[in-house]
Amino acid sequence: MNLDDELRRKAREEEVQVPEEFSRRVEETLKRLPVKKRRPVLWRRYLSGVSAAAIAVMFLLPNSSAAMADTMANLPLVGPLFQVITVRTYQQGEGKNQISISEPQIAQEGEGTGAQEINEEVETYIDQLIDEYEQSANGFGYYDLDVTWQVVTNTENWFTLRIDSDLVMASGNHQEQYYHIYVPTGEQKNLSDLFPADYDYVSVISEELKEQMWQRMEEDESQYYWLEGTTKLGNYYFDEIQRDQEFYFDQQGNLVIPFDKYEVSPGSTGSPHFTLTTPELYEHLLYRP
Amino acid sequence: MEELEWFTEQVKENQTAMYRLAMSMLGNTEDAADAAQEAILIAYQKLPSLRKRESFRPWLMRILTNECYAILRGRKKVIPLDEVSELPAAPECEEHLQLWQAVCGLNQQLRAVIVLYYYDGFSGKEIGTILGITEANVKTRLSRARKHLRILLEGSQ
Repeated sequence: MNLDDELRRKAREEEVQVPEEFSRRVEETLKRLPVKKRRPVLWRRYLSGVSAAAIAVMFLLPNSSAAMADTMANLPLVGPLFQVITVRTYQQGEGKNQISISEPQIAQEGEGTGAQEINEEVETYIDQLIDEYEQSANGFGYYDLDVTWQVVTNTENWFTLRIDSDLVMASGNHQEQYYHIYVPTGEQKNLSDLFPADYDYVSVISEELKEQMWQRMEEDESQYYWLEGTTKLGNYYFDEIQRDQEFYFDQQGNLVIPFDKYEVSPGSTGSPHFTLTTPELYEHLLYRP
Repeated sequence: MEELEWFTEQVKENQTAMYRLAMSMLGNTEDAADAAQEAILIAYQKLPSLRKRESFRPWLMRILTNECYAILRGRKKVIPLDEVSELPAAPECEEHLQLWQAVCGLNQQLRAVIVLYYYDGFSGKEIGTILGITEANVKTRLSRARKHLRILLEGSQ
């Protein structure tokens, strides 16, 4: 039995008991609800049909024509070694449902550059986003997704492409995805590749991050992070990064750890980034931009 | 069936799922009950705006998620020392439940995804809608969570 099946089995067999206090509150809340007449369902079905017919024209621009390819190839270069172009844009809108996607492609495809692998990953990711939008547009009635890209690092040693996704449904969310190539070998790299196997970079980075979070909270009252002792969250607080946490190098070559919204802090703190400064960390770093 | 009767039935059917999700995000029964209470009131008020009744379950969970986030946003920045003794010592996880214990050991970002996927059987797309993240991000989080759960479950055996 693989892990996925094992987890499904355990979840099915383990019955999490709802505490009395929780059930009582639910019951009391339900009893307090006022009676109101149910609206007929038909009008909603009708409106749904009308709005589906009113979907705006979709602009899908694959790099299919020679003219389009030439135009795109003439866009300004973003770095000295790798060129990245917008290979496809996708825009669609219907009422409160909006989507705008710019799909990047690394131009230097070929054996050993690492570009092809990332291009395929990016294309799959963007296809998923478009599919999600098309599936969700008739769901809850509010879906606004904006996807953009930027090249973070482009040196003779290192290349990093970042894709930003801003999704607004009932509330806003922001996500960043990073793709890295070690240019001399064309290998795609993750955080765990940056350090020797026997070096506990997870602990070193995590400790510095927690220290920086405490410092930010002391210096700025609007900053708030979920740390042990800051809230009555019990064990639910940021303690350690994931083994392959997202990262990038800044212009000075420093390692930066970005967090998604709600990952380590409330939405009001946004998507915080932390520049790491612990000297020991850089002594163990196997790759530099 | 009257609307209230239908709504009450649906909420009761989803009570356990609501509890698990709220606990995975908030970590204690009192806050989980607060979030559930608010979510029920909002859901009932906004029920006419729900286009498809068959979408009720993920819709309710989405509202609950928002209420959990609202509670997390409102929590005190720093707890005074004299209040520390009132804090729960650990999340209220039942010790005899091996997977639930392991899920409690994950970070906040991963817990809700696992609960919705394995306990409640939601699809990646539905989880993305409920948590306000993309399906691709759900898959990434599931993959990360599985790696951690494997270690946690192996360690507990």
